Amino acid sequence: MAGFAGRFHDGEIGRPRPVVAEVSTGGSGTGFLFVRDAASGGDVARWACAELYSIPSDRSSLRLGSVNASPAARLVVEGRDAVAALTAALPALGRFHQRNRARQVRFLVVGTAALGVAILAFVFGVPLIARQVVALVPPQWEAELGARAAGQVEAIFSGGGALARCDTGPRSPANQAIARFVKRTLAGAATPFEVNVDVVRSDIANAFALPGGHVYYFSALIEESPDGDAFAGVLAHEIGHVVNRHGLENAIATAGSGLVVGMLLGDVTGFSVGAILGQALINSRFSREAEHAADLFAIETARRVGFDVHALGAVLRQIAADTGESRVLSLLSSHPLTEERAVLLDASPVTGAHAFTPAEWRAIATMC
Amino acid sequence: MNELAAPAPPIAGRFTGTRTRLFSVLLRGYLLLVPTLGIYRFWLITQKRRFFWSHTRLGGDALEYAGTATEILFGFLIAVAIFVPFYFAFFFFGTQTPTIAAIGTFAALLALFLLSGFALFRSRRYRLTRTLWRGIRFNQSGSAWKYAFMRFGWYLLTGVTLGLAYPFMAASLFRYRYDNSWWGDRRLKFLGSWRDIAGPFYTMWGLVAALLAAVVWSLFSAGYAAGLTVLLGSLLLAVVALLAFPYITARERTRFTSKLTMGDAAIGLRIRARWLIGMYLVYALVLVAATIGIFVLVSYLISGTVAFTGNFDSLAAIQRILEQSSWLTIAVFGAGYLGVVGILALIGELFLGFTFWRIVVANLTIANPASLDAVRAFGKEAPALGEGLADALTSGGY
Repeated sequence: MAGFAGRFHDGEIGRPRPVVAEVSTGGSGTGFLFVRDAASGGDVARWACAELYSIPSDRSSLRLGSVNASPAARLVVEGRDAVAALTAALPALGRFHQRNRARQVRFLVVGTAALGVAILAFVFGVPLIARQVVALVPPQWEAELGARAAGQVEAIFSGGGALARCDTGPRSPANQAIARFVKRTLAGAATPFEVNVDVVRSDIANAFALPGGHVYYFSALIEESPDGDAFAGVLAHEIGHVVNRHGLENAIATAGSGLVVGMLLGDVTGFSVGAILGQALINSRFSREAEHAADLFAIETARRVGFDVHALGAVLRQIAADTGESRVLSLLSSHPLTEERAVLLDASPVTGAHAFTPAEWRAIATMC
Repeated sequence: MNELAAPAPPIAGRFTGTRTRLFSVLLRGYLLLVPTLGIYRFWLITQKRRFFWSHTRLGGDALEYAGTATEILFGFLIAVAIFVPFYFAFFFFGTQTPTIAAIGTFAALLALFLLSGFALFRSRRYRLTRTLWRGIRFNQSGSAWKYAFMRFGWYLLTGVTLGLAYPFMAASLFRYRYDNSWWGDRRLKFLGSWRDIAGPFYTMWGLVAALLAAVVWSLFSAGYAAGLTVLLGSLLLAVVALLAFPYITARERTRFTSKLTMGDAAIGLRIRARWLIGMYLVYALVLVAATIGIFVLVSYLISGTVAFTGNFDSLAAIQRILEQSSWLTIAVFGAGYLGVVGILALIGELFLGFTFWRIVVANLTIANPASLDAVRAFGKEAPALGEGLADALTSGGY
């Protein structure tokens, strides 16, 4: 067999050596690769074919090493024809390549599976863990957190100035009616928090609760409410968030989900759009559970205090229709109106009583 | 000059890779990212480096990349552990009063910036120790923390002096990187200084400053032709500022790299500013073409949707389709988002990363290469575990 011209690096010294390589196939695959100096013909290396491996390189060269030589020793043969011929003469190389490839694929599959399991464990586990962690957080700490969050909220919604609170007099008929309703709602719930309702002038139809008991109710939502029971339903729902400590739970779950998404995308800082989207998607599952729990609280309150909780479903539906919220967005949004929620609210018993007297509701409806 | 025989001619760099080949490597890699939940990126980085290294030839011998994907994967896992405290710090500051939140977040970002210097130096060490040429490994000595603090201080000073300290910073950091670089037992040495780029840098700095001053001055002087002057001045300023970057990059790379020696062997590099300007122009053109292409494709899909549903109110038609199956739609949106991000990344790799690497390699020379024949292998494969931090900071590069 004719020799292959190539260059040899012994892995010890920087000078490359022009060589000629020859394969001698012995019986039962125990051949050797002889490397001889191109000029003198002296022996440079003798590598057993079974111990050869190839290093990934460009297509027109073949780089060979041997497990029994220096880890950096290389025989390099150039030219497509020579590469093809030498590869054909060394079938062990193909087997080495296949073994290596199988190992990489195995590693990749196991790694992907492990990551998938971790994500699933996270998606289902974090809400549970968050609930456990919340139980350990002192209510005082949560109230302080809520107070700071209130400061941030006011800065965001007021655009720098003061928040436009409607009817700030605590003794006004509207505020007294609201306070009375809050007191009756909390009477049946074991909670360390005092609920504090602020009605705020805003074009956004929304209401939300902060950790520690601060509830914001926007005037546009009052305008959307057909009667006092709709207002009461929304308020009871928000108080449900306070009692169940959902705000804190959500903050803890969000911190956890940001971490796992960061690991997934390789962006631990979490500033990329992908990280934000992924986190929103994971959190939506958590927030849907929280909404469900708050709805149950509202239904229970309606039964105990005595008002019509169907109005809550009606007002939610109307807001959804106004904002043109599609089902896609509701999967991603933090306050989703889902069919399950509507069905749950519609199926609750009708009491016939009302949360507020007509005079009280008139006072509330004209607060802003 | 006082040699007996005529010295051997300098050896030159040659890059044999093609954009098509890189495209196929990247495309396959990007597609495999999806079913592997992103883990494939460690294999993709490795394959990309193998492509660049193995097609880079110096004096006929190609570079060899000896790193593996599992090394970078484990390095990344360790980096994640280092990042967890930062993560919780950001979270904690987010729950504090606005003042504390702002100060705390700023401090954490500064710490992160300091850490990124550490990460860059470590990742350079990883790449060098995984690079072989003529069967001899490269290596890097020096302290990553020292480099991180140097870099941090220099950036601070450069910011405070409105960029005037830049040539000093560039020379100092370049010296630390290359004076600590080894090929086998041969240490590289940087013989240059800030003076090498002072001329080009301060010329551009002065030009930009003068134009800026002129524009601001005419903005405040209510002269007759002030409006036109401001407009023309701003245009000129934008053009000069855009050209300054490739111009300074070209000069800096050329002059600094050409002041590197490896014992008696001297490295030479010549990069012309117009090559880099051409590279950015091509990149911009491809980017524009791709944007138009994506836009046309999306419009076509929407109009196809309209034809399919028989409704000419396209928005309502899209909404109806969105409402039909929400999870499917999220998948479509997600795929669209990933597709666009992937295309943009691909264009960057093919028309900036590839082009720049080819320019550098094709214009590299080593004078008196015979001096390299005596170099002996030295040093171990360190660090054992990838370049974690840099990957976590998404500053991987090549």
